[in-house]
Amino acid sequence: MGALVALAGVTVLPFLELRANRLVPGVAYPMMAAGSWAYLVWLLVAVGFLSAVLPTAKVRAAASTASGYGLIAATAWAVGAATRSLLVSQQPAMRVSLGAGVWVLLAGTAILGFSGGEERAGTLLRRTVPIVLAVAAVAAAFVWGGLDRISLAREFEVRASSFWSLLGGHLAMSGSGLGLGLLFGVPLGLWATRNRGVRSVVLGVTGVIQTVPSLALLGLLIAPLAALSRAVPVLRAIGVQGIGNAPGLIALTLYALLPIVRNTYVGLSEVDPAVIDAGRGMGMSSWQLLWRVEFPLALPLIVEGVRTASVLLIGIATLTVFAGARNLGNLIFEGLGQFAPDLILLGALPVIALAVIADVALSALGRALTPEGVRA
Amino acid sequence: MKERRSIGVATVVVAALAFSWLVSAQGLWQSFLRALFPAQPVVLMPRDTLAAFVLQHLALVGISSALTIAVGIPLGIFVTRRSGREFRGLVVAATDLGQTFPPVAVLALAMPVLGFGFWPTVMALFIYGMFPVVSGAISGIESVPKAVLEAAEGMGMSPWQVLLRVELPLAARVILSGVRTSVAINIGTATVGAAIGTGGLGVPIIGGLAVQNMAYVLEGAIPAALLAVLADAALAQVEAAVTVQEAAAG
Repeated sequence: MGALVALAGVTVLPFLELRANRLVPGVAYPMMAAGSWAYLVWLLVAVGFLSAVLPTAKVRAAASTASGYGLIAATAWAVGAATRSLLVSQQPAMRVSLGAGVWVLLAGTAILGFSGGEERAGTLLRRTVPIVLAVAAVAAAFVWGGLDRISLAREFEVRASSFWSLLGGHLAMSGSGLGLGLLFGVPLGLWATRNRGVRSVVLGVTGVIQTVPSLALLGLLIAPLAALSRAVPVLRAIGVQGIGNAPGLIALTLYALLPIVRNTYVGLSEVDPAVIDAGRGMGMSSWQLLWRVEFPLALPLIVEGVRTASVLLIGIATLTVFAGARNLGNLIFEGLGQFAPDLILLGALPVIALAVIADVALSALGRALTPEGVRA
Repeated sequence: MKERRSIGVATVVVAALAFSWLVSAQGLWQSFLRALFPAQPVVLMPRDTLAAFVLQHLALVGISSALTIAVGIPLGIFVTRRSGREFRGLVVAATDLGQTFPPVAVLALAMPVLGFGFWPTVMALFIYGMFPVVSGAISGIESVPKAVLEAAEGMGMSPWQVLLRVELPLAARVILSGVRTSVAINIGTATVGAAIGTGGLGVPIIGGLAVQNMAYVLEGAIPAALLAVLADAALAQVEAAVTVQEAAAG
């Protein structure tokens, strides 16, 4: 299945596009422009096909791993080699960008990886070695293989200094939204477990906020904030304005509330009453019960809420640029405005990567925090 | 119980009628925004009437969500059948991963591939909306107890009968909550579509922010927020309806 997709990628679709400059559409080139590297890609796709029919599960898994990670490395080198040969004796404004074929090939590779994943348990070392090798090969293709000449890398070079500050802005914005969300969300969730009325109001209101489109919420915040900042000079002095970081930060905090409040509430109310009774029997005060029994047991679910919130916030943070914040959203919307695909990629790929990293890291943290006795 | 349900349905219907009246009352918006922003020379975006923005938005969301439901639910069902079982791991992995992708990033990435304008955005919304619908369909169907399935088979039901008369009714609530999530995301992402020239309620918001005209921003933001809350409430009613049926049947 994965190999089929990969095959479609290398045969039917254009591999690279040569464009006269960064904005105009280009001329498509097939993978054979990569010369001998193309044969390696072919070979690895063939291994991918083989991996479906090989005799034992162990061999199948090894073959799909080899073809999957091998294809990532080989594709990087093939793209680099082809880019080099296409750019020889061309004007400096010429750009070579990845064609649909490369993306489809990589999608097929991901599928190969997924389908091999179930059979490929093994030790941590066994699992990480191919990943490290593939990453090293891609990095090497940047340094020696000509991969640094593709248009995405060129776009990055042009904007290297602003890129890092925008990335930092992105992290700061979504991180502080998350921090504020925790600061308000956890106490609200706790309050909801102690009081029925509070529960329905808090869960209801945060639920409605969550359904409101982020761009609309941002818009609804800007006008009152601008008025407030005009009326109260102290607020303006600390940076609360209609345009800038304030509306974005408030919007992100509001969006973070629902998952955090809901999971804090559910986590705390799902603590087994017998455990609380036992704690009380040991003579714990209600504070001790809360800190040493209830919160530790609810923590995995709270972290799960933080995971949902952070993935959400990393995405929504891109929209706060419409209210004057500066982060990766600037690259995306500037790119959309200029019809410059590479600029869009330069903004969107890191946003996706951040979201995926936050997701993976926080689910691992949640698993690590689950006490041994209650692990499923 | 039944009475309370009909009150809920009636509330949603009345709210929907009130919403459609509100967005077509162009004069009312004119005087409301004029009162809020007396210094602003133009308070309503001249490009289109508010009703037109709302209709563009509804078209974007309606078409893409309809496609999502028509493709996503059957796909979810397919991978829980014996014939589709081998694709289950792949589809679950893809939907899990897809749901961590921010919708804005997906919309932005779809642009160079699919192009600018209405239909490319519908395609992007359709693809992104699939993730919650498919995973809702899978977990809904897999939540049906095995014993119930065996009982149904024991009664001599064919696989189709089991699906239509046992699995789908029991899974309906979870499937619908996936649809509800998908539509909510869709309405929100469609506002961003204005940045790639699709029309809809994002046009006055983004346009207003660009020219610093807060009246435009509110012209788009208030109806967009109301529309999202209304659509969510309507789908919550549908969800409640199937849940009540399920409780009555059991």
